[in-house]
Amino acid sequence: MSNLTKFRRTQQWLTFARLWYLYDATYQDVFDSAIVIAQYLRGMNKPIYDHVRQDVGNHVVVINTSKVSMPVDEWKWRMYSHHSRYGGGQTWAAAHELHSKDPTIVLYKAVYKEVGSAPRAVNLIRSPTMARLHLFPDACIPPEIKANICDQIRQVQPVLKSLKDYSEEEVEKFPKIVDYPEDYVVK
Amino acid sequence: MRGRVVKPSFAVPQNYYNLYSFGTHRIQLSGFTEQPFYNGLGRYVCQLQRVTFKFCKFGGSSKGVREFIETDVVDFSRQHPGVVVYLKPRRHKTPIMVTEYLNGNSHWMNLRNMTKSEIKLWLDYMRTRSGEPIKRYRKKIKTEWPSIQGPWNPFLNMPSFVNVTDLPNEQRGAFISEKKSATQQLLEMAKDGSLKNILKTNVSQEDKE
Amino acid sequence: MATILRNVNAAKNIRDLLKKSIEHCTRSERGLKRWQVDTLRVMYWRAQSYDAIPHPERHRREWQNWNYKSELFAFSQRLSEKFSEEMLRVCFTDKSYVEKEDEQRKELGMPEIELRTENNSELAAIGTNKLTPFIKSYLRYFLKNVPEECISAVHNYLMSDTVLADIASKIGCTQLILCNAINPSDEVKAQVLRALIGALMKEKGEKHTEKFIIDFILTYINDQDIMEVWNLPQAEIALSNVLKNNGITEYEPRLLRESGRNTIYACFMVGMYVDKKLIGFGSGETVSIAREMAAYDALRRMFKLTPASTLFKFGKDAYNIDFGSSSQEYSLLNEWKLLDLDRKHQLKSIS
Repeated sequence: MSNLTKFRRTQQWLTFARLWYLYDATYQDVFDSAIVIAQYLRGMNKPIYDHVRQDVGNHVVVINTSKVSMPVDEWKWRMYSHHSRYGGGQTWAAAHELHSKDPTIVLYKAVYKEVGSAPRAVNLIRSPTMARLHLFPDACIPPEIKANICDQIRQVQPVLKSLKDYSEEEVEKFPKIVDYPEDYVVK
Repeated sequence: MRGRVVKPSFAVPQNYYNLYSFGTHRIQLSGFTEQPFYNGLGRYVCQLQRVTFKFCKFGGSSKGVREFIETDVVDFSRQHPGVVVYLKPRRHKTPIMVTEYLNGNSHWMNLRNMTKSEIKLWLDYMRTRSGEPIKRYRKKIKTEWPSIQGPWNPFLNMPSFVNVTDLPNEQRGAFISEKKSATQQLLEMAKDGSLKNILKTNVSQEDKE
Repeated sequence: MATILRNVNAAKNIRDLLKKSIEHCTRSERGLKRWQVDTLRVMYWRAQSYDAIPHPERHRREWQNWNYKSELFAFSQRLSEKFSEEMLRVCFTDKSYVEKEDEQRKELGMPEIELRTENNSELAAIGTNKLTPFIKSYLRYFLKNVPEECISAVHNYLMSDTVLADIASKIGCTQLILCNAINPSDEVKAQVLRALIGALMKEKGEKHTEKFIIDFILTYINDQDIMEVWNLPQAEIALSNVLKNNGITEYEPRLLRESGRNTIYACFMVGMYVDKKLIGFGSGETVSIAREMAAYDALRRMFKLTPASTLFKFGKDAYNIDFGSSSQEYSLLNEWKLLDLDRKHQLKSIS
């Protein structure tokens, strides 16, 4: 036991408390979100952040990872490799292939990269940091995890609406800027 | 070798050290000050309690010490009556100075070939010291209350509505852009009624007529 | 090497072994062998360390450069006081030292004339009689919003042997004390400090002694958390009692914040409300601990023991204050009330 008094002990407990954050990944860029999530995981949002002496990281619960987005053709061109450690065991998969197999793995790998390695070759803090990341493909969170959450991380880009999401009334009421000329032939 | 016990010298009491006993710059003892921090709040107590000069009466290396004793040592004692000064002549040896402090430490120093003025300066340095081993302070401040307002906590500045709302919440979690999007601007203009200028419904035909 | 090993079996002890191995090396025709050097060195140091006789501890007075008279003079000068030498000698003489001297003289068969029977116990009693009321009235002067338990707790802390011994050693009493041990215990040191105050009372009078107490003993509470020194148990019961005394029957603890409820490092923050106003908040690993700490915090604010509001005066600022005006005891915690003038101010909401 420490020799701190009860007042100082609880004060210390409060200052170094690990918070549980929620992040909604709906239509969010994978790589931009990973930067923000990694900051919270490592505790860089705290003024007491210390990269050397102590681990002050938070927990992050990410929901709707199956709805993450990538810029333009990134799903097609980004390749993920895997090696089975046998001869000729290296395989590659495009991002969209991997995402269809496991809807959380693309975000996991992006965060894993952003959490980063320390100047030393082996980063001892990386695996405990990644263990604090909880990924869920849809909006369902187990109740025992949901009870822990106390705050939410702001999204990195607006959630865009498609035309299907608007009702007919809304479409009709939307202000018109141009009108077709009378002799314009609609295909 | 591990576990070696060095024989203590019978001539020297414990807690003896000199300027370099605990290393210099790169490899050095580090820590916080252990001084009584109430010293000086009421009355200042000089931490040096006694000085011993050991010197030779004939040797050339003790010349400065002898001169210092002849001219300055009485003045020093008068100015600082709280420090006991001992003079110990001994034949054919290097002159030294041992200063003892209130915290029980003793500081040993070689005075070989030093002039009178040098010794005076060193003695003044020793008198104003606290008696702690020379070390690198990790912080220059020692306090039981690092912050008057209370330490920072992770809940600080978190809006209180988050406690009662069910997460995910749009007000807390939605993206806030710095600029307004074109759609937003358009909708606002439509609300204001300032959209008329842009809307061009059959303008060209009316003009022709 | 083989011969060394043979010697190992033959040798009776380590020193004998060392002697034989060295003999072997020096007598051999080709001198010391490189492969034997390390072994021999290790064996040499082992012999040194196992045979090392622990150095008997000696008192500083056994050294040549020691003059008790000038040490006593320097002691009083260091504190900028003017003790008489005789009085100081009595102060530093412990009861155990006198008894020991008496026994030694009896053993030697010396006549019982000029036996020094004076010790510091009488002076210490005088010192204690002065210290207790003065410390309490000093504390009452600066802590105006606390119950009597707090005052007596801080007083007991300052008068404890550990604190007094610490102060005594920091002003250089340790080596001057005459007692039967080389390193005097905390009790002996504390007794000496009390005796010094008693000596000042005898020689210089009351006013002068008070200055000494302010400068050397009361400065010890600077930067200390008084609530910690007090160590108030069961804060919530105390809070409900205090509120009841002030005519407030209801208070409401509320959960302000929480995080990681189902984990081992859960953190809860609880606030105490009276009339929908926050009067204190605390945190902890469980709700009950947080609730206790919230009550603790509310009491701290009521007693004005926050670090910003406990302001003592030391040194010249405190010399001319009349502490005699605050000699009246405060009410106990069970009957304690907020000051009428301050009541609104003290129970105001904290944001």
